Amino acid sequence: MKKQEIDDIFAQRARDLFLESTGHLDPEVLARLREARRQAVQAVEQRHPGFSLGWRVPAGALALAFVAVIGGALWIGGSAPAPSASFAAANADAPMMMTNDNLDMYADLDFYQWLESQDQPAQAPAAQTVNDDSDDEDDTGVGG
Amino acid sequence: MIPFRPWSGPWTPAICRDLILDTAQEMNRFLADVERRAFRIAQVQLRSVEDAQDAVQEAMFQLAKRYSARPQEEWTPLFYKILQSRIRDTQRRRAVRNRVLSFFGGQKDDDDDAMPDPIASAADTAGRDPSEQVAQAEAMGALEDALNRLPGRQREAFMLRILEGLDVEQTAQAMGCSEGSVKTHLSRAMHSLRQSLGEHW
Repeated sequence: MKKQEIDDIFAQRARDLFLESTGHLDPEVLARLREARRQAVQAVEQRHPGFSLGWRVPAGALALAFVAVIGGALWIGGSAPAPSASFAAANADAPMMMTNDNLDMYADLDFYQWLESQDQPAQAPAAQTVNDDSDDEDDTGVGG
Repeated sequence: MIPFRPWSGPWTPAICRDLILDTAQEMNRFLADVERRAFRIAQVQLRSVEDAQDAVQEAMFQLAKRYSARPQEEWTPLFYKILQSRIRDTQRRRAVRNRVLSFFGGQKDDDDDAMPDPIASAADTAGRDPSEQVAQAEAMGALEDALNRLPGRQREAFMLRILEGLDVEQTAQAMGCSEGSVKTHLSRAMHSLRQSLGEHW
């Protein structure tokens, strides 16, 4: 007889004896096993509501609160007053400042302010010359 | 056994209640099927009715509380994994207690000597010949003694694979080791048991 066959016969006998022994348990032992099983089944019934519904209720409440907060913020933001006139005036130069062309001028602002102050005394004679020229033109025109 | 089916529809209270009742009923059927064998497996290893009852009760409760939502094909290895863990804990606590008692010169805690043997004291419901009963009880007693002389892992492998009838994969899951280890432990256990029990057992 092969070793595997001997092992199989041995295992079968051991299993038969074991199963036989489970059929003759003391009634007190069986009663306690039944009670343990009843408690375990009760634990299933108590566990699942907590698993399947319990977390959904606070999650739903949280979602509702989140929607309410976002909605409230949007409603308040939509009815906010328009910017004041001073604010608009203060931002009038914004388009000019946003263009790259004028950046050099703003970098040398002091220089341009000095240049402006130097030019002012010479403006009056220049204006007179213009007037004289216009007079000449007038004369020429009349005479022509 | 109801196959595991993930629910994709709306989770109405009625559906939740039905699923809970289904799971509870399935758990009841599963535990009713395994409870006697589980008790005997624990009793053989712990040699105490009280400790075996405690171990089975704890395994039942932990399985129901923690793993009832898992697919039912996982319940058997999970249940025996919890049970074996509980049995090892009890054996460790008992070993520590015995060491402490022997250090202080007290008596050893031999539960198996104090307890009545429920197998021997139970009435035979199959109507067998008394001498046959005695012969079978003696053979089972000899097997239990031989099992308790085995190293723990060999004993676990033999009890789960041969006595409980789990397959190799389930035994490996219950023992928390590889299938190769199960085969090795089982082969050594069979060899030791056959040598220990003799040709005519």
